Amino acid sequence: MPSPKLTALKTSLRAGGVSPAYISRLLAELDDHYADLEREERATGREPVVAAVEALRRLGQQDAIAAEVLAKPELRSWPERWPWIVSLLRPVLLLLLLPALPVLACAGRGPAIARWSVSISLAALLTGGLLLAMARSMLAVI
Amino acid sequence: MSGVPELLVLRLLARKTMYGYELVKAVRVMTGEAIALGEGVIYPALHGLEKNGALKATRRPVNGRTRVYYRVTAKGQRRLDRLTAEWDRVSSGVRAALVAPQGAIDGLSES
Repeated sequence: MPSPKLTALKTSLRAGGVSPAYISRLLAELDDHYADLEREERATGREPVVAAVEALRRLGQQDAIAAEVLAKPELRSWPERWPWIVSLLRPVLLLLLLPALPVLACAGRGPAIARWSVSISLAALLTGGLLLAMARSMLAVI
Repeated sequence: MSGVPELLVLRLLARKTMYGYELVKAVRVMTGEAIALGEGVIYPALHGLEKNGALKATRRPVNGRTRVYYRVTAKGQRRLDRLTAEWDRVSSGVRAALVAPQGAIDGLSES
């Protein structure tokens, strides 16, 4: 028999702020436990379907397991356990990120930025040269 | 009954390294089925004890699957000693109350 889909448990744990890594570990161990229970039940001569139902019953209610996990703060993800750290770190990270954004936007666009820089510099030189020439001819007239 | 499952888990794992299914079975057998833990509920208890440093988990491949075995750490042993002492104190107190003669209770209101 395939192992049970512990969807309700997974949903409750996700909603409760339990880290995905921990959820995967718990489900893997429950899956393994279920396989052992099913084997034990089948060894007593039960039909596979009956053995699967009995194994699932012995494994326990999914909401009871979820409640047990959620009652232990140490099993929750760190932003759930220390929300004040998140609210403290968020503005600091944003302040660090804002000046870095233009640098990050330019990263990997080196050749295009170089072309634009050369074009703008040449245009500035040309405009500057023209303005200088105009200023000198105006001064000469005066 | 608060703390009893934890005490049993630590006591059994202090004797032998076990995985979840094996541990639940051991609790059932060792307590003469007086304490039947919800089998799936054992894992949050084990993981909580592991997070607190009382247990150490080790993964071992068995028949193409990976089983997680648990054993008691030095910190877990200290916790077990404390819980055992607490249990002894409470159980001897309850036993004393259960076998106390009627006269001892009557004497309370007189004093």
